[in-house]
Amino acid sequence: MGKYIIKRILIVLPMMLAVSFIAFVLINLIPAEPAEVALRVNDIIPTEEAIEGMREELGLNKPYFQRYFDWLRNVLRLDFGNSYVNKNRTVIGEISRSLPATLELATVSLFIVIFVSIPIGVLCAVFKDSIFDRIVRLLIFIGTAMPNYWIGILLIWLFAVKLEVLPTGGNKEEGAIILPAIALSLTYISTYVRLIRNNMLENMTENYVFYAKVRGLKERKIILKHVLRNSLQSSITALGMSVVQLVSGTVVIENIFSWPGVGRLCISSIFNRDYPVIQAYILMMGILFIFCNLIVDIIHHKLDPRLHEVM
Amino acid sequence: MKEILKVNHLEVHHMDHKVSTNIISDISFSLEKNRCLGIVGESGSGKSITCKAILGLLDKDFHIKGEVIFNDIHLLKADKRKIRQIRGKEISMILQNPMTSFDPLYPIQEQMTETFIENLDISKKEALGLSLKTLENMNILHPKDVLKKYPHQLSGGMLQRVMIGTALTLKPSIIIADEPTTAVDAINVAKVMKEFSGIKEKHNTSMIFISHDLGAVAKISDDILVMKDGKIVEKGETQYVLRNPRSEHTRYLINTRKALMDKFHQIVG
Amino acid sequence: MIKKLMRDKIALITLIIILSTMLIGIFAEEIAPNDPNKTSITQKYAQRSQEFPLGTDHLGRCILSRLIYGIRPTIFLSMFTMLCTIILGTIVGVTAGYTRGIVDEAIMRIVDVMLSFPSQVMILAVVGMMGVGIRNVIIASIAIKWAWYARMIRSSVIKYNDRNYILYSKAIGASKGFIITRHMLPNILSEVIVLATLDMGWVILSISTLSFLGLGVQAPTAEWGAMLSEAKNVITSHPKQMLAPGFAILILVSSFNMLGDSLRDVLDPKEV
Repeated sequence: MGKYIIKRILIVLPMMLAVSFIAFVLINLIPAEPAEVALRVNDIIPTEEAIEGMREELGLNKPYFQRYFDWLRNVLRLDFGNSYVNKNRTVIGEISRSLPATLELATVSLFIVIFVSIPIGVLCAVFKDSIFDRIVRLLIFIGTAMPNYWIGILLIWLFAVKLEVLPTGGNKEEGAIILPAIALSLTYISTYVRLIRNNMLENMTENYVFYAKVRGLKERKIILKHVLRNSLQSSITALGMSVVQLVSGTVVIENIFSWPGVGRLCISSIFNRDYPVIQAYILMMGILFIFCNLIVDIIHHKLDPRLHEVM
Repeated sequence: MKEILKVNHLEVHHMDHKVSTNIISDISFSLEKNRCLGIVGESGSGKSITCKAILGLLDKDFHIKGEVIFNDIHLLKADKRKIRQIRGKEISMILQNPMTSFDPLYPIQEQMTETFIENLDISKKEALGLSLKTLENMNILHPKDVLKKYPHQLSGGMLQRVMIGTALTLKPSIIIADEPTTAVDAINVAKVMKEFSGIKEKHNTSMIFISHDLGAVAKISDDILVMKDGKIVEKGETQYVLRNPRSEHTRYLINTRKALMDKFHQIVG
Repeated sequence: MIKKLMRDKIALITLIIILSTMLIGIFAEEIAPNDPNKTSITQKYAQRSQEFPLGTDHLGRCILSRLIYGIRPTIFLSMFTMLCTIILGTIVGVTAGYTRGIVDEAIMRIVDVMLSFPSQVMILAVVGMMGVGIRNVIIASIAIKWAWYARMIRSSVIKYNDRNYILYSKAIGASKGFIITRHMLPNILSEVIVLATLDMGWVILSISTLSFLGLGVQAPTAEWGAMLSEAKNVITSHPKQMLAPGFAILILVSSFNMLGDSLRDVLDPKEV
């Protein structure tokens, strides 16, 4: 067990290095000279001298790998430099100011996804082809074809404009999180209901379910204790990765609901060409992805006795 | 002799996209107390389906007609709860593939105790003690360790003995063994057969022994039922049927068996 | 295959919806009642009328005409994206499947990484660095989607490579290029079509989402996602503005999804 965890953690290091390199390389996709951009966003006329000065300031005239390692050293100290737009604000400051709001939104959505999709998925599988199952399947179908930003504005219109029971956006007012969290979770609910339903149905045909019936166990016990646990075992990887998807999915939702999180920060940075912030966002998502993968793998390993090393 | 299980005009149809296929057509037979009924037939002849139909274990795609009477209870008409109480406690079944019959995520003891708690209405602690005793009765070495093992850590033969032991501890009136020799390698077939002969002698149960292997059935059963394509082609007392087979198919099965044995003796010398 | 598909009512209906949408898009100039970009301050938020069948928006532009012209970026850019994705995926997949060895290993590792990384982040990364605009959105979409096709085509190539008639072709000395184009691709094509149809829905949603955020198709070009973005600004006063483009996306995407499902059932009957 311990051996596996150590091995798994060791893989993380090269992966992190790869992600950091990708995040660094991406900045080379910029069609313009970064120094020039840095000047333009601050309304300084990019004269030859000014550009040279800025290159010096940003360290752009050093060799490529030298720049990467310099950058990496700073990143390890959580120093991403300063924002191009607000020169007196650090990138890490911007991110850490907006991160809590995003995490709050993603966590609430994750709970909604889990507590809605598991029971519905189980009920759909148990009552396969019943009216309930058919209606849910229809809703899932619509859910996957509906743009989630449209769902978002429809929710705003219904609950904030028409019924006036919830705020339209921001995160200051009471209950402001309800609408964005619902809008964010709906798309993923359709995915996971389908996943859990299919996994349940697949497990129900397994021989161990038949033997459980032979042994005279109650239907409910077979479903909840045996089939559900086995289905979750096979869904856990997908469920775990949903954390990353939820955090990255906040980009759209945060913009609709004016939720002051990293997704909104990312979009406004794209418009403002604030490259260090975008770079930090990508790096952060990459690292989040690696760690979610790690945690999911370890949980999966821990819960499945078949994967344990011989004791 | 008292009949403990009676099957009258059983018919099973499988419905698939409005296409109905006949799987079992009009079979009748009965099982007498403390006797062993062997059901022989090639794979696909409907042996297993018959037993699943008796226990109400076929899913909704199967349409069942006829009657099944166990101790004056009409099983096909009884409600779900009643059938569930009979399953396990009154009629136990031993499956053909022990390796896949246990939930891979729980240790053996969990799966044994839940069975005992459900069927014998006892406490968790008593059930645990009973599980240990079951393994001891089956002459399994290190029973305490085996209880804590997960299914994938045990051999097929071991799991089968756990299954047999669990069935016996419930003291059912009928034990149905569905091809218990298929998952076992040739060397252990004799061992498994001895196990089942032992059950018949030691415990007061009736048994239905399903196999495609005529030799195995001949050794253990008192009465025999030969099935082909969902129909019964021959039934009667085992020794009598083997000596005077009336149907073409029975003769065919006997001859193949004989040819195989001859070949075997020829090779072994 | 086509015959079987014709018998499937759902597939037929969705196919008709998709094809007629495409035709309307192609002949937008002839069909649209008004110029989609003609603004008129006096005619803001006009009700349904003979002249404006679906009313007008906040600049007095005809919503129906904008909807019809909006088909173009939605369907044709998505199709273009899919086409490029498939071509790139095919080239990489065939290369990997044919060469095997180290090249294959390296390509597949890259593909694995591409497949597991959240696609939304990748799109944002590319658009964020290369700048706002539909061209970059398409490049980003291709960049994250090709890996799926590369993996699928690689495994098909390996699977078909060992089939008898291809071994025979090799034996009689047909060239590699000839084998690939004449024997391999037609076999793989059906699988690609199914996946591509299912992915069309995804691409349409993705492009419209980015246009909604203002990262894709730029104003004043008519595009459904961008129209919804404009509608969102007037949600309190004129909520009906957000209905037409929303339903248009919903219907088109679900048509592609349904068609993809039907195609899969037809091609792969064992999964029914």
